Amino acid sequence: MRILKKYYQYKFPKEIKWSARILIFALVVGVFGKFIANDVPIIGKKDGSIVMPVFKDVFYDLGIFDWKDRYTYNHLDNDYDFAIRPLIPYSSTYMDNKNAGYVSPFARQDVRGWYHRHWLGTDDLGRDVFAGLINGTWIALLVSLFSVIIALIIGVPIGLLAGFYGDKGFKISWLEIIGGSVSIMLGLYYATYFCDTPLEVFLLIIIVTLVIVAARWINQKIFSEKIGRYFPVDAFFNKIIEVFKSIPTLIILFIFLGVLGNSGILSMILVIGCITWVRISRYIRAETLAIKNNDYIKSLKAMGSSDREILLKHILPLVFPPVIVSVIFLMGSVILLEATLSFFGIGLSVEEVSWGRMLNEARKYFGAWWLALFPGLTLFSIIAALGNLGQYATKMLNPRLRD
Amino acid sequence: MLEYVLKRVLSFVPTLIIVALLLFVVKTFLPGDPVEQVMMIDGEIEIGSKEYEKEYRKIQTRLGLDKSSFYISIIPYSYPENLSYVVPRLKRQILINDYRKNHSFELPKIKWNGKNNQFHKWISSFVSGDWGVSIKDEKPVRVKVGGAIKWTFFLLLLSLTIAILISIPIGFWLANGKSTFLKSFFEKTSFLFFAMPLFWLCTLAVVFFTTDQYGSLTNWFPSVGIDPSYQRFGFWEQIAKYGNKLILPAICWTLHSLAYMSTQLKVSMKNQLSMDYLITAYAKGLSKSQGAKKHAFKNAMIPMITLIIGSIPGAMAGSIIIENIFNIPGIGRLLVYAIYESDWNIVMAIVMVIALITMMCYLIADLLYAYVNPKIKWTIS
Repeated sequence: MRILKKYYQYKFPKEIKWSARILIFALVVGVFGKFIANDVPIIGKKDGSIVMPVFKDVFYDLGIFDWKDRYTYNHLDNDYDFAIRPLIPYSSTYMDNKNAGYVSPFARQDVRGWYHRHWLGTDDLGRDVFAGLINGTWIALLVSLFSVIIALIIGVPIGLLAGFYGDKGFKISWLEIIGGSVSIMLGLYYATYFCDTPLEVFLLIIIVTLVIVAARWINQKIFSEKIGRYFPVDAFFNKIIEVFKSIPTLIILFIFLGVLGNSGILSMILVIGCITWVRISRYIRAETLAIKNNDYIKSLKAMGSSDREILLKHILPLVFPPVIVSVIFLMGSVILLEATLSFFGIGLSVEEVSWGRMLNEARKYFGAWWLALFPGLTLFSIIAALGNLGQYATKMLNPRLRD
Repeated sequence: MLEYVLKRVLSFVPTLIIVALLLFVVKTFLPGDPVEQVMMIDGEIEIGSKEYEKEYRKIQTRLGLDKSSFYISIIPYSYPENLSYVVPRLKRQILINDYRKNHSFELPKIKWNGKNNQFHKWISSFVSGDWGVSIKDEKPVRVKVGGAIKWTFFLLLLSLTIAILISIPIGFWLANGKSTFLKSFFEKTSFLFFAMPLFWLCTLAVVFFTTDQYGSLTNWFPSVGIDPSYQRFGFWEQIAKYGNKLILPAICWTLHSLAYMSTQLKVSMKNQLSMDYLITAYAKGLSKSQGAKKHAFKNAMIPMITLIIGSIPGAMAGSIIIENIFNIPGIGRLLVYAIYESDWNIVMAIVMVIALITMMCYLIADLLYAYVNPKIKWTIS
């Protein structure tokens, strides 16, 4: 309640009032999607006991809870003694056989009453479009949030290192080169031949990182004077970025996800995150480069601060504002990429309903204007809101652009 | 300048090699078996029979898949050499799974394969101009890609030219004089088309304007799709025959890029109009329109050149969307179908071509920018 009160008291700046409202609305709808559109009741009384199947459904979707008759038993038509149902009594995968085959929102629908009406129509299999929109919001939220987090995890350190050390600043010894490359090769080898689960791959990555860190530590402890040569950090990562830049992101994603097949949302998040970090690291590199040449960084060096201290305590906080801007823009383009990929049937598992999927349904039957209009409108409004927010953030952070 | 260009062109080579290597790595993770795919199209031989294996080996040698995939191979120490040659694929999968179950965390064995490997063969023949054959219909990849790229470039140049021709007068109009209701209305609607996802714009256009589902009033354009018999004609005959199907995609593409171009031109025109040299020009007695046309416009076009050429790589991604929705036999549709059918020779060729085009575009944009703006020095970092 207090949060709600604060939300109503807080006044957004005029330029972003509507975009902020749209985004907060989408966030709430995405997170509580299961409670807004579902074919199982929120609270129901059955066989004398009160049950809350929605929570069961949420846990079932997360994979924590096994629910055998989730899709074999018709929760909508079977009678509970009494039930409080969600706003829309259909889930995104629920197939209403009576209203299958593209039923328009204005057409006569074969339903029990106004509450069971498909307010935004149905698709070929009789799935409710409104429920699909809500599930699409959830998917867009998941994909944009987590792939941006992955992109940040990869892109921020790389951008910082490349900007801070440049081509002549990072010394690396033969011990580290050999230790690092051998451990990476061995890690790749074990990952391809002996790792079956993602957990094993994750452990392997940790072990490889530990070996590299240990090699560096040993090198510093035993050989106190730095022997070795400069490692061109900037040129190295620039080359990688150049490779990513030489092919449009959409095409890279098409190829990677096309090979993986319809393997679900997790692989989509991973692949998008592992490819879009380039956009973040470019920003950060440029920003670090600008900060690095300030006098106070030089004086910090003269006072004997370690590189790590300078990077984490003095450069990272200053780099943070431009990161926010790039994250906002990246989220918009990730949502668009997800929708485009789903539109072509790549990435998400086959039964998942998202905005792109629904738009693709419209291509199969041109008469279904509701399938072409509503998902696109949602996608457009969210992307436009994010773009507006990003522009506003750029303006705020760069005083020269303020009018 | 020549030195600069040479250096830039030389730097393409490692990038292209890395792209090819990456594609090869992805190729090894393909779920299917290309040889079995060819055999499925070719004929019906009972899986597991001797005849099957004979045929399999024949096709494998023809496609060059019997060689090892890279210069070095790293395999577990006790890995049986002939394990990766067992046919059919299902049996091989079972054997490999058995091996992985019984062995764990074994030390690797490094084997040098020499020049006789798939990567070396592919890249040397790619450089010499032989891009292999498509798995689907055994046609040369170069012919297929060459035929497709014409459509893509025709559509791209068509919509780019229209967009430039329209956006120049519009940018001029937007930059000059006071802002009126019409101007702000135009800016808002064109921004709407720019912010709309391209694939949604195209879907709406297809759904509403190519059918008479909503009455014959909105059926303005021919239905999408070019029938497969188009391949019998020469390119210009194809355009003459099916050119009417390119109108709607060109309109969609133009609408999408119009807002960006016209606002960019407006911004750079406004910048130029506030420069001091124009005051001198007016002092000399030039009229407002003369000053804008003769002096400001030329300078305002400088950033536009980079912008237009730099937009071509992004348009390559756009061509995937447009060509698949409007069913135009260009490079984007070819690529997507090749990915669906895991026809890897085509995918690799197209990606290499796109990477080369992208890098060339960036280089040309830089060169042109430096050509029109002498302040820029020829250095490479």
